[in-house]
Amino acid sequence: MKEKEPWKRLLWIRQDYPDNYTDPNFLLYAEKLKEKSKRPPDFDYDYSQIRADFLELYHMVLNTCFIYITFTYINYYEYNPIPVTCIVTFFVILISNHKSEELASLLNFKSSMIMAFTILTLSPVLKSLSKTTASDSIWTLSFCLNMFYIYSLSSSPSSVMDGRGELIQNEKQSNLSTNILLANAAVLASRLISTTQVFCFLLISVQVNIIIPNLLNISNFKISLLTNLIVYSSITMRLGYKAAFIFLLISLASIIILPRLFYYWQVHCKRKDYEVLSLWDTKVPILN
Amino acid sequence: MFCNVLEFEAPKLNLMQFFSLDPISLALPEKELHNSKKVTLDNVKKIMYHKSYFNFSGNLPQSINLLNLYYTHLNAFSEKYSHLIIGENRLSEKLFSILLKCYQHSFLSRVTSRLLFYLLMSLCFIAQNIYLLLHWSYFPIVTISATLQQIDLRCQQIAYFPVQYLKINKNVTIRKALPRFRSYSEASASLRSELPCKFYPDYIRLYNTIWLIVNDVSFGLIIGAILHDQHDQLVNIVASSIQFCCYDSIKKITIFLSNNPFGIKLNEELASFLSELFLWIIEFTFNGFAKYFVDKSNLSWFLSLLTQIMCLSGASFGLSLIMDFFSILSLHLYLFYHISGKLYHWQLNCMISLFYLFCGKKRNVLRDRIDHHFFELDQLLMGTLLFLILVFLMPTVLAFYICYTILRLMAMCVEIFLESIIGLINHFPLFALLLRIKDPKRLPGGISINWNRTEPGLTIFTLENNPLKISRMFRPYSILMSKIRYNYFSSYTARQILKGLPLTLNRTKLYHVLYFSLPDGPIKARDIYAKLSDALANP
Repeated sequence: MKEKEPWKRLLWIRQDYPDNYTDPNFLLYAEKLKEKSKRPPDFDYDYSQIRADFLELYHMVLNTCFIYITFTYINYYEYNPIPVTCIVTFFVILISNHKSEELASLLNFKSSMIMAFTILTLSPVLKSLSKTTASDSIWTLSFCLNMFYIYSLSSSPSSVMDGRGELIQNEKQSNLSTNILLANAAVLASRLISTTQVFCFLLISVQVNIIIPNLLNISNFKISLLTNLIVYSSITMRLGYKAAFIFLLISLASIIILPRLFYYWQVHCKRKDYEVLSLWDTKVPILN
Repeated sequence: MFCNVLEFEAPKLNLMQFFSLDPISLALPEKELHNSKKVTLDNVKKIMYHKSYFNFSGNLPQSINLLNLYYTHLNAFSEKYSHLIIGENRLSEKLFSILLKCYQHSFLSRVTSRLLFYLLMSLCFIAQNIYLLLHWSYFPIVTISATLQQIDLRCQQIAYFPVQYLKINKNVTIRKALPRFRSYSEASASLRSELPCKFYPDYIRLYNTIWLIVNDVSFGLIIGAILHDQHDQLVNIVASSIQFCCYDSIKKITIFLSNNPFGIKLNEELASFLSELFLWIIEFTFNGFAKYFVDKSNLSWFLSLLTQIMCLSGASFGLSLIMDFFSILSLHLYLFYHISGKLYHWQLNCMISLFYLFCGKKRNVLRDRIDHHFFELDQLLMGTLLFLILVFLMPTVLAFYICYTILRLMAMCVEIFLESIIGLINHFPLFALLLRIKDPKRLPGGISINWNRTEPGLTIFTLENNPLKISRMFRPYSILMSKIRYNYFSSYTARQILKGLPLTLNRTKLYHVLYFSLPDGPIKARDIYAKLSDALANP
């Protein structure tokens, strides 16, 4: 008699097993899991990693604040945006030339030209886009987009754990967060008065919020210090000491208290059977 | 012994009464419209085909045919056993038949029939050529205009008359020859079995068409007379209403749309551009041709032409002329609807694909699904900026689109109303309806066997003719109405409008269902000629 083929955990294959067949391995695994849950929890969660992740998120949030700082700079104080733009662009070019090789820089040159001309072409259209809309609705829209941006940042990490617990590049890394950021910048840009302002604002936003975080590590101590300095001083300038103090409290809480809470949740409240779920979850057919 | 007796009133074949198991069809057999609500439940099907409900013997059709030929058999019987029969033919009938025979063999009859024959053939020939011209395969102009469609219908009817005559005539000759089959031979049985139901619908169709044409002309005369009487007032009313409905009010609406309608904040630049574009089209159509239509002397001339056409060739021609006039006048509405629809559709499609880009996804055409895709920064920037711009411009385009769609739908309602009246005038089952009132036995729609009375040892039933149901006569209309409802007043329409796809329907295709008594293509004039001359040679 022919040896039976081993059972596969795939529903779309016709197999020579009854419908209610239970794999003996599964029973073994469930048994093991039961034993494991009786033991005290093993502390295999890396607290320093959690803290570093929260710090990175904090830096990203600080980074998004630059959009509003630039907007206030151009729209409220009505300063000339051209020198700032020139400085930022110069820095970005310097860093990118320093970093990348010849071929990459050529490609970058092409795409940066495309971006610059796209912004240049569309800025007159953007300028007139929300002329008839009330300012308040634009601020609300921008706030919602920003919240959504932070949420999408925290929910789509650039690296994920695979089944064996190693960090790998996330294959499903999404463009969504970048797009929301761009949309936020464009919505704000539609409130500006002149085409130059729109162009400069978009250029600064793209460079500071998208290109620089990709080129440099924004959690680096020097850059982080600079970012904090700029953000807090501008909040103090525009909104006063109280607002800066509240902002400081919130950020301290998110750096110090939230990671601890998260750690506590992971150790005590998280479902213990996620391992069985990851091993025995519904499989997605691979079509290629 | 117990037995059942079935009583029936013998159908008079010469009065075209007969029994039929199935309802006779008013449409041509190849255009028979099947009921869409067929029984599809498996259990019901099983019951229907069960032994106890199913008649395998097939005696009933034969018996019915025998009943239909009651008087034929009676004649045969009386000729064979004349001494058993009491009563005689009436004198007047005999005299009439002798006179008819004399006439049929006279010179006069031959001359008149020849003349009629050539007249009919030339008419038929002309009608067929017009039909072919209208249905030119490269550009079937019949689809453009209602008047041309009306001409086409008349041509088809005229070209089909000889064929119908031949069909009826052939059956009449068989009927005449029937008394010769006195024995129950197989050949005569098969001939008998397909006797009345075969030619009879053709007879109804032919006379229905003729009745309708006569009716149409009489309606035309009435309406034409009214139009003639009210000529001057009508010219004034029509001129001012065209000016108001088709130009002034639409101009007002377009200008209103460009100035933040109902407090909705539209994009100023785009709104003013679009309204200027549409105003320009209005001016162009008005100065191009509508000015001449609105001009009172021209309108008066048109109205008198309409009156004359109505008096000469019927109300349907006049109505189709009015419809063409209306569609020319509402041409700019048609253009507006299509322009704004195209804009909207294009924008919607762009927005959908850019939204995929926004979410970091991309449509996979090969597998017809949405796949994850990582875009470069320059692509993202361009896509997102364009997406935002389109989102902000959407309300403006949408406002114009909705407004013009509503206007177009209103114009469509007028067109549908006129077309349904024309359809009613052209295809109303008038003859069948009158026949149903006059003598329901001539329109059999199946039989029923009812209990009559019980005598000792004897149950008496009566066999009755169920007249054709009125809903069955009007089935093409109900189908047409449901089609119209599906195309213009349903969720399908709403979906089509939401997607920005055009709401157009081929008129000839839509009204095709009403051409149930006409064949699809014309029958060749040469064949008709050969057959008709045959029939003429052997009367």
